[in-house]
Amino acid sequence: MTTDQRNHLLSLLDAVFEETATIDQIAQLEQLVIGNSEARSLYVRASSLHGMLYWDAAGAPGEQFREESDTAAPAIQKSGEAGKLTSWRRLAAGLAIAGSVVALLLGFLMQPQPTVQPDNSPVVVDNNEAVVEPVVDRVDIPGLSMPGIRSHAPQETPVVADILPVPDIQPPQALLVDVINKQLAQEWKANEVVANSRASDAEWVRRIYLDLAGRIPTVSEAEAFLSDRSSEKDSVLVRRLLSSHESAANLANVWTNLLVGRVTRTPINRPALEGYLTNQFVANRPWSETVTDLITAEGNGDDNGAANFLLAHLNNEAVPATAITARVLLGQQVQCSQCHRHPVVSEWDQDHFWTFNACFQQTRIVETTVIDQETGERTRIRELTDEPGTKGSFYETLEGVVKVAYPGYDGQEISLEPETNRRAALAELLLGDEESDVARAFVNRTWAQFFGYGFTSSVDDMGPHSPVSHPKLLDELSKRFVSSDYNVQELVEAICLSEAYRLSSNVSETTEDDPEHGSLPLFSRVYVKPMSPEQMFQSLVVSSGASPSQIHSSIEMKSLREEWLSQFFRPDETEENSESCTFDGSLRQALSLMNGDLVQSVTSAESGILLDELASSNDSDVTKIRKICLATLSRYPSDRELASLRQVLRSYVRQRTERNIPARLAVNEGLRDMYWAYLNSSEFGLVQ
Amino acid sequence: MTSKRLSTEFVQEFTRVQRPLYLYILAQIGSVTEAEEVLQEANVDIVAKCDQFEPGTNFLAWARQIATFEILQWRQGKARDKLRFSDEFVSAVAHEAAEHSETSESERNALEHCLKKLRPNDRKLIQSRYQPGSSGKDLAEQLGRPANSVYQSLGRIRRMLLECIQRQLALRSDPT
Repeated sequence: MTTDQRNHLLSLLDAVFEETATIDQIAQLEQLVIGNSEARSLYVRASSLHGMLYWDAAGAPGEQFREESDTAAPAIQKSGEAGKLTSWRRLAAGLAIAGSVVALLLGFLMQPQPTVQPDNSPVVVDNNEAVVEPVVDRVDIPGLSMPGIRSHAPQETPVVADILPVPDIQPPQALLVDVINKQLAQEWKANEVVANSRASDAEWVRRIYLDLAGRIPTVSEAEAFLSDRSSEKDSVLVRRLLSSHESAANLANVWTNLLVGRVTRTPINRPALEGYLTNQFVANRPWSETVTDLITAEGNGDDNGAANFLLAHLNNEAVPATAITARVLLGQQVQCSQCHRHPVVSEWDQDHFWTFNACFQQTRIVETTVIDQETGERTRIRELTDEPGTKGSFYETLEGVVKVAYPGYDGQEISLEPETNRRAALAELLLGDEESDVARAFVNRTWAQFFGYGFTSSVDDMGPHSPVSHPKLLDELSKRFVSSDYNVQELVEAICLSEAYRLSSNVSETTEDDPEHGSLPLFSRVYVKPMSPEQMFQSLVVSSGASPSQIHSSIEMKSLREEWLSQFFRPDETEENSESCTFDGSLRQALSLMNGDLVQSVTSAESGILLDELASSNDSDVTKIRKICLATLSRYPSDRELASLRQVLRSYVRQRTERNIPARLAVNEGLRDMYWAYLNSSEFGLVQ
Repeated sequence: MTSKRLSTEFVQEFTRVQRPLYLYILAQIGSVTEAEEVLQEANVDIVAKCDQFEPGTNFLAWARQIATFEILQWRQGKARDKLRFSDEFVSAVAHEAAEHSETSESERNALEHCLKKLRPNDRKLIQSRYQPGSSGKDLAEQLGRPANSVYQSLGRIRRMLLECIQRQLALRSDPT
C-alpha cells in the first residue's frame, strides 16, 4: 500500500467514524480494503481503536483510565452522568462477582414467581456460586405478562358469586357501578367460576395509579393509602385521581397514541393535539364533542390542536383517515374492504368503505410558507380546509370496473349539495342516535384499558362477526354512556370502583377464566398487563424520588420522554400511517433497560433523590430496604425477601470492607445496586 | 418452565468477552451505537444457548459464531440502507476482525499507555470526543470551532494513537 493510499484510507475512515461519510466515500473505502491485505489490517486496527475509545469512555474498567478521565475536561454529556455502557458493565461486573447483590437479585426477581409468596421463591445465597436465573424462555413472548403470572398461591377469601348483592328490584336508574357488579356476577355464576380474592391494598393502589395517573405511586402516596383505615379510601382516591390534571394528561396520551401514533411521518403538531385532548379530559367534556372536533376540525394544527388528527392522515386519497377513524373511533376494521368484501359481514363491502371515504373528499390541506419579518425565518403552515363540491370517491371493483361512491355511513346518505359540509354531516350521523358505534367503541376500549381485555377479542375489531363476552353489559354501558351525554369520568369511575377491578390478578389454579389462551374473558380476576413505554418511563422517574408533577410540566422531562420513547417506535414504510413497536417486555427489552441512560441516571446518587436521601439518612438498613421496595414495587418486602436481602447486603459490604472500602460507602453502593435490581425485575414492569 | 443456571465460569467468560466481541461486531457494522445493539442481541442469544457451550473450549470463538449470525440478521434488516457495508467487504474483513479480537487484551494495555503519552490538550480533545453521547460535531459546537477543523484534529490524534499502539505491540512481542 502506498503512503498516498494509506493516507486516503485513513481520511475515509475519519469520515466513517464521524458519521459524515457519503455513499461514494464508503465505496472507495471498500475498494481499498477488499483488494489489499495491508489495508484490511489497517482498517481493523483503526476500527478497533475507535471502538475501544468509545467503549472505554463510557466508564472503563481499567483503573488508570478512570484516573485520567478526572482530568478530562469539558464534559459534554447528554443525560445522566455516564452512557449506556457503564451500566452494562455494571451488570457484567455484578454478574462476575460471586454472590453479589445484582446477580442474586436478578436471579431472585426475574423469576416468574413474584416474591410476595414466601413459599415459592427459592433464594440461593452462596458466596461461591452465583446462581442467575434469567427468564430465557421468555425472550420471544410478547407481553411477558401472560405466562409469567400463572403460579400464584391460592386465594384465601374467595368472593363467591352468590354472596354478591343482587338486588331484585332495581331503582329506576341503578348506579353504573352496580350494573357492572351485577352483570359480571351473573356471568360468573352461569359459567361456574368463582371470583378471585380481593387484591391487597398494595396491589390495588399500584394498579389504580398506573391505570389512572400513568405511573406508580410515590413512597408517600403509597404509605398514605396503606396506612389509611377508612372504608371509603378507595372511592376517595379514585375521585381525587380522576379530577387530577395527571389523569387527564394520561388519558390524552393514550388517545394521542391511538389517533396519530408515537412517531408520525407527516409534519404535525403532536403536542398541540395532546394538549387539546388534555383540556377536554380535564374539563370532562363529552366524548361526542371531542369526536366531532376531531372529525370536523379546520385550520392549522398549531392553533387548533384537534386538526392534527386529519392533518396526519389525509394522504393517499384519505384512505388512512377513513381506516383510522373507523378503527380507533368506531372500533371497526374496514381497511381491507377497500378492495375486498368482508368475509363475514357482507354489508362491509367496497361501497361501505368508499362512501365513508367520500366524506373526506372535500377536505384539503393547504400549505403556505410564512416568512417572519424580523428574523427572515420561513415556516410552513398546513391548514385543513373544505372546498365545496360534489366529488365522490372513485374505486375499482373486483371485476375491474371503476365505480364512484357518494358520501354516507352505514346505509345513510349525506346530501350531495356542494354546500353541505360532509364532515359535519358525518359527525351527526355517527353521534345522532341512542345507539352509537362511537359510544360502544369508547366503552369497550376504556374497559380494556383497565381490565387488560375488552368485551371483544380485539377492541379494534368490533362488528357482527366478533363475539362479545358480555353483550348485555356492553349494551347497557354504551346506552348509559350516551344518555349521560358521553360522560367520560362517570364511566371510568364506575369501572375503577367495581368489585371486579378490586380483585387480585393472581391466577388461581381452578379458574376457567383464561382469555390469554383465547377464551372470552369473564373478568373473575384482573388480567396482568405489561406497562406501556410511557408508564415505564414515568414510573422510573417517580421511583427515583422526583416529583410526579415534573413529568407533565417540565419541558426537559418531556423531551427526555420523547427521546426515550423514540427508541421503541419507528414508522412503517407504508401508506397506511402505521408504526412498529419493539417495546414488548422481553428479555431483550430488559437488557436495553439495564443499559439505558434513563435507568443509569435514576440509579446514580447524584440525580436520584431517593438514593441521596437514603445515603444521608440514619435509618436502619431494614428501613432503607423497605423504602426501596416501596418506591419501586409499591409494597413492602415479605419477611423472607427481607431476610435474604439483608444477608446479601451484609456479604456485599463484607467483601468491600475487606478491600478497605469504608462501610458506609459500601452500604450505599449495595443499596444502589438493590434499587437497580428492583427496577429491572419483571415485577416492576407489570401492571398487576 | 425451564430455568437456566449460569455457572460462575460461564458468567466470568461472558463478562470477559464483551469487549473483544464488541470490537469484532463493530468492524463489520461500522457504527458504534448500532454495534452496541447487535452486541445486545448476541448477548441474549449467548445466554439462551449457554447449554451448548463446551467448557474448556474457546469461549470467545463460540460467542463470535453467535455474533456472526446476529450480524447477518442485522444486515438483512438493513438491506435497503445505502450506507451499509457491502457483503463483499464484510466477508473480506470478518476473518481479520476475528483474529484481531483474540489480541484485544494487549491492545487495550497499549492504548492505555499511549493515551498517557499524548499531549494534554490532545488527550482532552479525544476524551471529550468520546464522552458518552458526544460526537465530533457536538464537540465542535462546544469549542466554537468549525466542524472540519475538529475532525482533522481528531483524525491526527487517532493516527498518533494507531502508530503508538503498533509500536507498543511490536515492543512487547519482542522483548529484546
